[in-house]
Amino acid sequence: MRKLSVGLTLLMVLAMLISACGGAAPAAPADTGAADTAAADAAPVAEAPAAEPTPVVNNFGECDDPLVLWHGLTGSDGAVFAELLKQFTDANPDVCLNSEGYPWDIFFQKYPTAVAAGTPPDMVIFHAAEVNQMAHEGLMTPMDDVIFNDGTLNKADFNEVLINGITVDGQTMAVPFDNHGWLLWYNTKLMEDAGLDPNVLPANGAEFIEVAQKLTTDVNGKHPNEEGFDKDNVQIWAIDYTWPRFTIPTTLWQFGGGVVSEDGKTATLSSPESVAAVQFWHDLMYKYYVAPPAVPGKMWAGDLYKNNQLVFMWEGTWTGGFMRDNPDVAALTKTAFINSLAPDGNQAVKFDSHIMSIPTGVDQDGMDKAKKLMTFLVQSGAYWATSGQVPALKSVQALPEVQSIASVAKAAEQFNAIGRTDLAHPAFIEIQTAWETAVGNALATPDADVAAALQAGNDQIQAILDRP
Amino acid sequence: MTTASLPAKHPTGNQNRWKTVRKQLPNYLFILPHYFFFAVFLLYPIFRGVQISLFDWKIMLKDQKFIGVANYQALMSDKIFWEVLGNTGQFMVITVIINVIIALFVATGLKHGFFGSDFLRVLFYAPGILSVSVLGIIGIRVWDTQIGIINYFVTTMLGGPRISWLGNPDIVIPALSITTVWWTFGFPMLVFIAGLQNIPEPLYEAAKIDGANPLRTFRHITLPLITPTMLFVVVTQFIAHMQVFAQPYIISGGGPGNASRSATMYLYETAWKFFRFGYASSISVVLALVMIVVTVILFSMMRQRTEY
Repeated sequence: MRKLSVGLTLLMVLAMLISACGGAAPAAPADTGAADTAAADAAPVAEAPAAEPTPVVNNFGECDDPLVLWHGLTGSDGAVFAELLKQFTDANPDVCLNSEGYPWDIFFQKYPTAVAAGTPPDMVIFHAAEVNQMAHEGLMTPMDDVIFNDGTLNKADFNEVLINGITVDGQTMAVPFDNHGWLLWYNTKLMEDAGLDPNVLPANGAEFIEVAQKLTTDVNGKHPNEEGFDKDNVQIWAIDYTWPRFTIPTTLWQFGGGVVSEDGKTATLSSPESVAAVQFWHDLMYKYYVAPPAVPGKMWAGDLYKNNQLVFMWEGTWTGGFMRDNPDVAALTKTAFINSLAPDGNQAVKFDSHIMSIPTGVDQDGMDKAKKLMTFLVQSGAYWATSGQVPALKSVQALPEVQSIASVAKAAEQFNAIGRTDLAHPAFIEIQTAWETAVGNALATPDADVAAALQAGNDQIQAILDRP
Repeated sequence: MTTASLPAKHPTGNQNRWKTVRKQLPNYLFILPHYFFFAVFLLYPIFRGVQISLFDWKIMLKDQKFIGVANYQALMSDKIFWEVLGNTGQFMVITVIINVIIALFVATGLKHGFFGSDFLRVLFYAPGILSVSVLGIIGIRVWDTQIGIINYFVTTMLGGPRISWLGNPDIVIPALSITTVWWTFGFPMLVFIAGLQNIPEPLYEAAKIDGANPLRTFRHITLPLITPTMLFVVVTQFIAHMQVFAQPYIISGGGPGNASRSATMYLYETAWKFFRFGYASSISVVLALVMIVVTVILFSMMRQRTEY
């Protein structure tokens, strides 16, 4: 008997070891994840791309003193980026590269500590929104004298809003590699099935609700404004509350609100306009039942979209990679400017940029190599556009090969016309965490008090702004 | 035969001490490596952490700005800190209580060897060997509103509503606690089994002869005699669960809002997302003080030992 028991125990331990060695189930992407990883992590769930391995650490070329590059491009755009780096070393045999991709949270632990320890990489890539904070921490080398003043790159060829965002105390701290941000991806077939014209999109909040109620359908074919609609078993959603980091600023600006005033001194999260914007999303989820509730761990919008369960998808430009890998989905998809949810149809959209920078403490040799790579990457924007991202240079955006990628062309037009970036601030990440938390509270439950939640977040942000 | 007795030569106090030190020297040498690493990797960082908490610490500055107890003053009026401390306390209380009750209950059942008891011990301990990342992924899958197994039973088998376990501020911490109990109760169970096996069997036999029922036996013999084990379990569980980080970080992201954000998660974010190292250090000092005070209280409450 005892032998049998011991045998069963051993069998179980063996089974656990075997299962531990096996592949883990793919996890749904966290809303707070980085844009690049969000798209990439979500893709395996949908059994989509992942045809090629994701490059994390790569060496290109051979030499004793490689250019060390740290970045967070580990998502679906990582493969395109790796190919670009290969092209660079092929064109510059005298330079070799050590490219290391990290999840963003790890990146932002390694970056400051490496600089403080005097062992920085030669070049880093992160986001424009974080530049002001990193510059104030003393982690970045101003780029004017490195690459702009000698005419290597023309500052006027970049998006002006973006350049302003990465200029700290009159000095441009980075070089934009791309423009990326929200774009409307919508399923034309589902619109046609609902009797709607895919070429006519709702122009304001009221029109959107009307259209959304026609599109949202439960498993019994009923719509939210019909008797007996089963909100717990919805088959097709009109819209999804995707990544709040882009969705909320976009909506706040459409409504005339925001997180912080333009002068950076006053929190505006509890302004009537901001409350109305967030309340609109709350209503879409819990009053009109046209958007799934924003709960942690909820299914990624791309999964819904891929399965023809979502009509309007507010997602990143990087979704272009997802579409490239899913031609059947792409065939039904069109892109457009992010639709306005505001009563007056005011348009606005948040965009950001992967920026390239040289950390503090890099020697002249490292700076020279980094400059060479930056120049190459900026000028190779047309190839980078195949990942779905918009090239940073307007002159490259206008190239025929870029314009031929519909989503990139539309996104470029949108960012140049109505694009806005987050307000630069030395405590940017803390402010962002504060408003994301407040909005999370506001949208957590049907009976959440949106105004009270935003007021709490507003107080917190004001306390951050008031800090000496 | 006579023997001349010589006056005994008594060693002086100093010689005694030296002799004792020489005798104990090998022991000190054995523990020296540990204390070296303890001093370098624990004692010094603790001292440094307390020091940093008195500065407005910027990572790249050579001359840091001394601000005294300003970080502590700010912390006392930081609503988020108190909120996350409350979350942590709630998580800790729920987890420790359920862990102790279930572990003791199961240990009582598994105290005596019977067919399959070894297998059951492994079975109950098995979740503990999983990494917290795996636990997190399991947690996400189990509590998922749409495709989670819990909601599958609730909606399909019980006909109940679809519950947003991780999206409701009122139930997200209990959900994380239950996940953690499943993961961690194996260790206290093993400790309880060891403790229970140390209780002399004649005491139970005497109680049986005196007609005590199992409940009275448990209350008057098992519980009092297992107090030292209970103290160990409660204190170690308290310390472990006050430091909870990865479960809310992976499973709920600390949300909705701050509803499941733990003190260590806030500490991590303050240091590594907001780069406020001085303030983060003050959080860690206060958190350590809270844990030390509560541990001392627990020791004084459960110090009394029963012997028969």
